[in-house]
Amino acid sequence: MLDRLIVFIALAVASLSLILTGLIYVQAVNAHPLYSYKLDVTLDVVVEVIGSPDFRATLMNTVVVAVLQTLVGVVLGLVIALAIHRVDVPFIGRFEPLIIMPMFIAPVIWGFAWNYSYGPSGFIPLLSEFNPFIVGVICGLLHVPHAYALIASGILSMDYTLEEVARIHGAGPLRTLARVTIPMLRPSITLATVLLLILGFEQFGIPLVLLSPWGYDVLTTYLYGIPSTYFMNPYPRMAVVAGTLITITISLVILQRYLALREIKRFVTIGERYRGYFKMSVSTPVKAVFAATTLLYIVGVVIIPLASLILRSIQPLYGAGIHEFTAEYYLTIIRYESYRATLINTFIVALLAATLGSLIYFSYAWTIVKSPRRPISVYADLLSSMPRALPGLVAGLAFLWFYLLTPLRPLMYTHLGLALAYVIIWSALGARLVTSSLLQISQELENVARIHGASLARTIIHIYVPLLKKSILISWLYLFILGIREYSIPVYIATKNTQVIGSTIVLLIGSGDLGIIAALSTITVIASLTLTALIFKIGWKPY
Amino acid sequence: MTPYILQVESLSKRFGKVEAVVNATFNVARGEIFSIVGPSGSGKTTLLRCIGGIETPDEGIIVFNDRVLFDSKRGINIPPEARGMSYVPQTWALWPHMKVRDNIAFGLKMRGFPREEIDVRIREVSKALKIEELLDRYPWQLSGGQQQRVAVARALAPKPQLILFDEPLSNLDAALREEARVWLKNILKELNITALYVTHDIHEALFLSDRITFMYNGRIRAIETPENIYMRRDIPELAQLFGYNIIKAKVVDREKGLALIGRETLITCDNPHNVEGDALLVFAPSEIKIGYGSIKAKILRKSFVGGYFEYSLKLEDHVIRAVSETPLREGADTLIDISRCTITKA
Repeated sequence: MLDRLIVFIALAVASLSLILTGLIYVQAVNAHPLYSYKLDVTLDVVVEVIGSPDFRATLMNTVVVAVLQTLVGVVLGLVIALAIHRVDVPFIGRFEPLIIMPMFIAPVIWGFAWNYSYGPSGFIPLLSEFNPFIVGVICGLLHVPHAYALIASGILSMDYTLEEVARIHGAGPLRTLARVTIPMLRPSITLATVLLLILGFEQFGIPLVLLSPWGYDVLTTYLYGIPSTYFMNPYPRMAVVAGTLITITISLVILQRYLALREIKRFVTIGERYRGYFKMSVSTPVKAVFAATTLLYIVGVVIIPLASLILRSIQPLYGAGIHEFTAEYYLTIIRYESYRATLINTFIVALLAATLGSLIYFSYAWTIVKSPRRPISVYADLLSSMPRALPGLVAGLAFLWFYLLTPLRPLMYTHLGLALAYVIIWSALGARLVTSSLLQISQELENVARIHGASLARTIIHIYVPLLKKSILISWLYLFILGIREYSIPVYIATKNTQVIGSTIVLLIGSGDLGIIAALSTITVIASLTLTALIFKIGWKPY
Repeated sequence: MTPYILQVESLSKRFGKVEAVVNATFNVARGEIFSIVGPSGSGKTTLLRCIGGIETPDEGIIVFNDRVLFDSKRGINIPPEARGMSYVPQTWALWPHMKVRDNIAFGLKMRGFPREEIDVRIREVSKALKIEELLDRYPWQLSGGQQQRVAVARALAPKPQLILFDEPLSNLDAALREEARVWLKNILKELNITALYVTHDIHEALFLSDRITFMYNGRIRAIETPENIYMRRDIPELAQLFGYNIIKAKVVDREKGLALIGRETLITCDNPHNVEGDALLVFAPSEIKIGYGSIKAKILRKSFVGGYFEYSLKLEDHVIRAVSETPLREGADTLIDISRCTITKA
């Protein structure tokens, strides 16, 4: 009974991500909005959108941002991962939480933080303008943690005797790094490259804040701007842009899967984890380079922008230097019912999403790892990476159509409906999170319990839950942080009663209410940072 | 009622294109220690897991205690928890979050034993296995040998009709393994418990078992008592497990049992056979006499292994193993005699 329920949940989640993707493609070739239940297949809009010079310029900008983000993110991620996990730079490991932190803060907030710090009217106005090249580099800096996590995991799972043998056979530390360590890390570097490309194409928050005001668009911001230009039936046009975006990201996700499988087969020595036993002793100047890069990253990319954001939230005037301080924006947030509701909604939706997600991802991962029926586990596994290809904004749009088309429509207006959308769209990440925990537990622990008389439910209660206690808590907290951070999914599906901080910030961009934006962002940043510190304290590792 | 507690009929299991178990049929008598032996990849563990209900066979019938546990045609498949067995896997799989006491009590609790009965059983079984001192420790506080005892105690506590063992001694060092064989056999026999015992170590199987089945490539090739299985030289894969020499030869005279090794070495085999042409000769290292005889050989390597020497000899193009108490020089030519040689189909 229970195993059927588990499989049902997994199949429902897997199929839903397929349906959401299908809806986008169907809408792209349908002249009418999907919810009108009318089908009139035409390629007119596709041809018109793809043929327009605006769109081509947008696509070009997107490629520039994605490629630069990947280059900067992967190279810096590699250097910092080596500094922390392979080179004997003293104390540098303690800064790891600060390197990971950018992951837990919404890109839209980072956009503001960078604008307030280094923008033309920022506290340290290093940048006189923003263009796709500059924004590509900024996106790369802010996606270092994603590359870092994958590469660090590669370093930690590498058999360090490979490097020891190189040293004893006459290679110096730098040569060992260049000839053994980095080539051995090729699988994780490749995966990080593809991941950052995907995230680059999906990037919405940073370009929305930093590029759109300067007249540049990327695919996501172009999509977001369509309804304000085309009031009448913007949906086919939006679907064409969304469809282009997910065609790129789906191809990259397929590539990522293929590479992951191929590289794992090739690098057979990568196996058991040999965590942190080996540090390469390098000369002082080399140490200094590694240490300086890491510290510069922390101060320049993380601390200064966040400090500027916080400072901005207590400044009455922007761009006039630091003279006075005010609590006005915070007081406004407390005073106004709608802002207060936003804070409460964010909390409720994150709570629901974390709880619902934990249950659903457990079922999902269980089906992938343990279903005895191979077609089912393969189906769930293959589709588990699908949502990875759905940018939050696009997925939110698809969810809107899904709710409008199905009897689930009333759910759309509730916190649960929003949380459900989060859970489905995060399912690639969620399934991976739980799968790795499940795989840590030897199958024999379950087998013995079953043969000794425990049903599946009792095996889960008596064996899995106690053994995974910490992982469950960590996963829950992780999902909760993601819930607080989410800004792109709710853009289209949050309704008047379910507006959360992230979507409110996006909506406020047009209003120019920068003080309120800074204050709301600061509240989210402080909540995220507190929770991030907690999750690190409990023992979470990004790899 | 049959004298057999477990009957397996025509059981098959495939993984994709790989046939893990093919048409396995055998019966196990009440109180019997029945071993399944074979090299790795032979399908022995899969067969055990099918009986335990962890794997679902593709075809076949499993009857346990006169109850059908699995029947592919009738669509019967009893889940593992309802089969009434116990299991000791290779890794022992002690639940790390439970103390020894709770590990042992688990099966009893799952089967609804009252608390007093559980306490009595824990006392009995921990006394029998000499682990009373360990009851309040966690598995990670135990040595390998202790963990193994706890795993057996956990399996014995519910007094199951059948215990499944999957190479339970292979994680112990040689000395502990010898010791464990003895007490394991004693306790199983004392309690008259039926055991299905998977191992790749033929000597362990010889010591422990009432009967042994030899599996190779998913197929059962022989089911014999330990004494008889040792004589089954007609199965080269089995002979290999016993460390026999197996070399290629040509039968030149079937009547006289004459076989030709290489170009010029003729050897007389004693078993009645009907093999013609290409054949395999099977003989034990102890069946070679070194220093006299009619067969030319060269001593390649000599190793002293305590009490006697182990020799690698070159016989025509083959390298064979022999043992002798006589010390001989490495590199020397010598004469040998093979006292008993069995001929079998190539």
